[in-house]
Amino acid sequence: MKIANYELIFQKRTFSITGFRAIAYRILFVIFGLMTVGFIFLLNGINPLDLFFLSNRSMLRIILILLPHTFVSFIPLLCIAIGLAIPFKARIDNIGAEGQFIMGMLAATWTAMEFPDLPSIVLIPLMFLNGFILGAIWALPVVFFRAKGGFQGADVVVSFLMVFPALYLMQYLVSGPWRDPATGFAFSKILPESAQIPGIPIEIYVPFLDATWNFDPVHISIFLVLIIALVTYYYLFRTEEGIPKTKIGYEINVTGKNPLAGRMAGISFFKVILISMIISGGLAGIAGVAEIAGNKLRLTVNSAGYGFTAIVVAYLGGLNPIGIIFSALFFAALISGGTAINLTGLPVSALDMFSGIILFYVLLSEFFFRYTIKWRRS
Amino acid sequence: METVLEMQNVCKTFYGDGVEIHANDNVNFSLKQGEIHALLGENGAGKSTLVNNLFRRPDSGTILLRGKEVELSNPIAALRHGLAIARQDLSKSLIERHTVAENILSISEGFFLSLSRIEREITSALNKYELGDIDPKTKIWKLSGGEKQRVEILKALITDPEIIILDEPTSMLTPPEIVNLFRLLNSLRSQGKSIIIITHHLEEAINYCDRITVMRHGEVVATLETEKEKNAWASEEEGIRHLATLMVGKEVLYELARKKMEPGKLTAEIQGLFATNDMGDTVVNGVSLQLKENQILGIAGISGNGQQELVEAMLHWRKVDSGKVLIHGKKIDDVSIVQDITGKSIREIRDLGIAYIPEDRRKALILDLSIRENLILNSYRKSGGLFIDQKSIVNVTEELISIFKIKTPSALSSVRSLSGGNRQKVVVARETTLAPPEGRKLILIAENPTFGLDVGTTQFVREELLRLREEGAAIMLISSDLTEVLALSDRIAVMYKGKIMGILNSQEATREKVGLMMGGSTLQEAIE
Ligand SMILES: Nc1ncnc2c1ncn2[C@@H]1O[C@H](COP(=O)(O)OP(=O)(O)O)[C@@H](O)[C@H]1O
Ligand SMILES: [Mg+2]
Repeated sequence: MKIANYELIFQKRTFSITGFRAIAYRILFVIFGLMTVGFIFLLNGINPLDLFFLSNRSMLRIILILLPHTFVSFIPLLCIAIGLAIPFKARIDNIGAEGQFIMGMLAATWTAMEFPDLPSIVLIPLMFLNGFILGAIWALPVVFFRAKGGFQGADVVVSFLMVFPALYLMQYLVSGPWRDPATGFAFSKILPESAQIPGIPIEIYVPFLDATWNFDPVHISIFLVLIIALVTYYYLFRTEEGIPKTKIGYEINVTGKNPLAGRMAGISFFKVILISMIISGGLAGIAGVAEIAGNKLRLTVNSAGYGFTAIVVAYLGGLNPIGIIFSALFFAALISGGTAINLTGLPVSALDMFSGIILFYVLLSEFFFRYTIKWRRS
Repeated sequence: METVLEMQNVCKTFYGDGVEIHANDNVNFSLKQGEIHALLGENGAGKSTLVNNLFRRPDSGTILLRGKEVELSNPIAALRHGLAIARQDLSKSLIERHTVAENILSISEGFFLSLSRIEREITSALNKYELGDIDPKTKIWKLSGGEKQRVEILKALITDPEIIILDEPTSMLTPPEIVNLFRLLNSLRSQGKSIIIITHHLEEAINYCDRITVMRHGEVVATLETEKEKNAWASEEEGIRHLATLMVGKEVLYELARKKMEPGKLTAEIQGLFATNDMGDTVVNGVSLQLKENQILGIAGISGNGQQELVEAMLHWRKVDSGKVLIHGKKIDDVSIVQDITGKSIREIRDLGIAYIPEDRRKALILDLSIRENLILNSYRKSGGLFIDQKSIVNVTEELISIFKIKTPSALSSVRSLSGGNRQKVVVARETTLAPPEGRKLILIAENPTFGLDVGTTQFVREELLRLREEGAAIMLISSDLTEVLALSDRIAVMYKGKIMGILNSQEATREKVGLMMGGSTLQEAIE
């Protein structure tokens, strides 16, 4: 690229940035993102330093006070983002996790309404199983169109389009067949007790905040998703002496970096995309079950949009489960800190701008990880 | 004689793969009126870059035309100054989906264009220059490699330029076509035109060119006057050796020791194979071949005559229209087992012990993964179950790196960080050590395995093929480098327009015979 007398040179990096340097750079880019957001707030007459840190109602303070709430959004974000990291690593862009997440919620509701008399110990696992299956099924069209069709971008298009039938199906069900006659709203019935995932009944008084952390709304699925994160990390992502533990982990790496060479060596593209999309859709489905059975307890016409936010979470986490745990925490905190933005008088949608800008910087950092940028006089 | 073109202190640097490539480093070059000037050098020496500088601005340096400094910042400017070029990379210079005339139209000037006039001019120019019959209305993709190359040459000549530059114009021409081309260049020279020709064929330079400039690593090593040198050389061979030494910078050209060996068991057989290319034309036209243990079967031919599609059809990368590929197994109760692999998956085929070194490195290497991950691409699934046997793989890859002398600080460095030669060593190390199933010997398909490699690695790869042959492997060597095919093969099949023109054994195969067959002569005609 030429600008006046200077030439801007993008060079592909020979040695990728890894380890602590990668983490440091990611954090740096997030800070850039926060600064950009801060600048926009400044233009709106709000002192970003007050908003972020200093005032009594700063985001930081609110996030800390609402820490248990942070964990509520952390659960679905983590679970979906882990699922997304797998196809992303194989260079399959599943941007429709939202639809798979919704299908998980539907599966949970249906199962709970259909078998209310089963004991929890059977019913809840059954809900998770159905959520996984339905989420995975919702991801399957992506597999066929991407692997068997001739269009390379089919994954993006198909996965995104699949969000809408899921959304409308949910809206139809809660305003029609599943509607709770006892309320005037488009709600389904509250799940039967046996289908509710219990919360964590801990209360901690935090003196320096002068507030009490009430962990009750944090349901115990948090352990399930953490285990999922660690298992995925161990079997698919972690390398020992540069080699993943499992064959499929290796095949995902190869397919993501050069599917042509993979195919030449006999790696089936179809198999890799099938497995990664099943896991991906399935985990989004599991997140949907956890959300319904632990948090919302009934289906409504809206979904929280975790499926989209999780895309940013997955990338900010460097497509690595351990990193994703931290980036999911960060975004969950942002979501609960959104209350603070509300208090400033800006619309809540300012929060979407927040994650949009962070995504922008995260993608910029991905570019920076792959390329070096130099100036040269021409 | 007057100097028509001079390049002084020309520099051009590329930035790629984490290194700066000084493709031209203070190059000085001059072209005299009415001479044919050969530009020699190994792949990557910077020859194309040098001549391309006449059609875009170099980073620094001056260009003089008849003593006057000029700025040739784009091809049109060069054309107006009477320069024209036939480029090396036809895929970039000819538009496949356009016709011959439309491609040539793209360089004609003026506001009103008449396609039919251009078509007429093309036909008459083809006749005038004896470049053969090509219909100006044909789409480029329908042409053979040689025809494309002749269109490219015509594209340079049709503007009647004073200075003609030909970048490797003979790589896809048959020997008779090459003789024709040089006859044409000779007559252009006698009309006072000045010609730069880039070539890999040293004998062409010695026999037809007035001066020879040799480049190495982006610099000019020497400029020789052919007549003068010829007096000093005892023979053409000595001349070739002299030029080759200048090109690579040290004494090279060691002999390859190909031990005499009896051909072993028949291990693979192609029977009447037909396949089409991406455009739907039949380009593999009833090919039948046999591979035997302890043998190298060379497939000679100008590239683009169906070799690529043949291999792809064998490996089930491409659909087989008819015919069979059979793999002969070990004998059980005196009955040998024959497996038809046509239509099997690539994986099943590769698991029979079929190794493959593709010409296109993108098919073989994952640049962004580590050397170790690249080396295990075949062997990672040897262990049963879902898991990779990490321990044994670590040992194996360390061994391969040391045996094949892959220069790297660590097995965990990315393949991208390696030089071209070392990248190819990774492929060779992986494929030649592929373990065939019990009781079978390796079958290796190697496509232009030394293409673009430096001399040392070329030698290494060739020796490796010979070593495998001694160990019992059946090797199919597809190469457009005639010297390579002749030096390595026990039998040579010549492929032309999708057909096997004949199969010669190494004693009867001479450069001339194979050359004629590459141009479409049958074995019978070639012997006569
Ligand atoms: N467009 C380009 N971008 C990056 N590197 C290039 C480019 N063109 C040529 N090179 C590099 O410059 C060197 C000289 O190339 P080239 O002039 O094509 O060599 P030759 O024609 O002598 O084979 C090579 O190392 C090649 O890889
Ligand atoms: Mg070149």
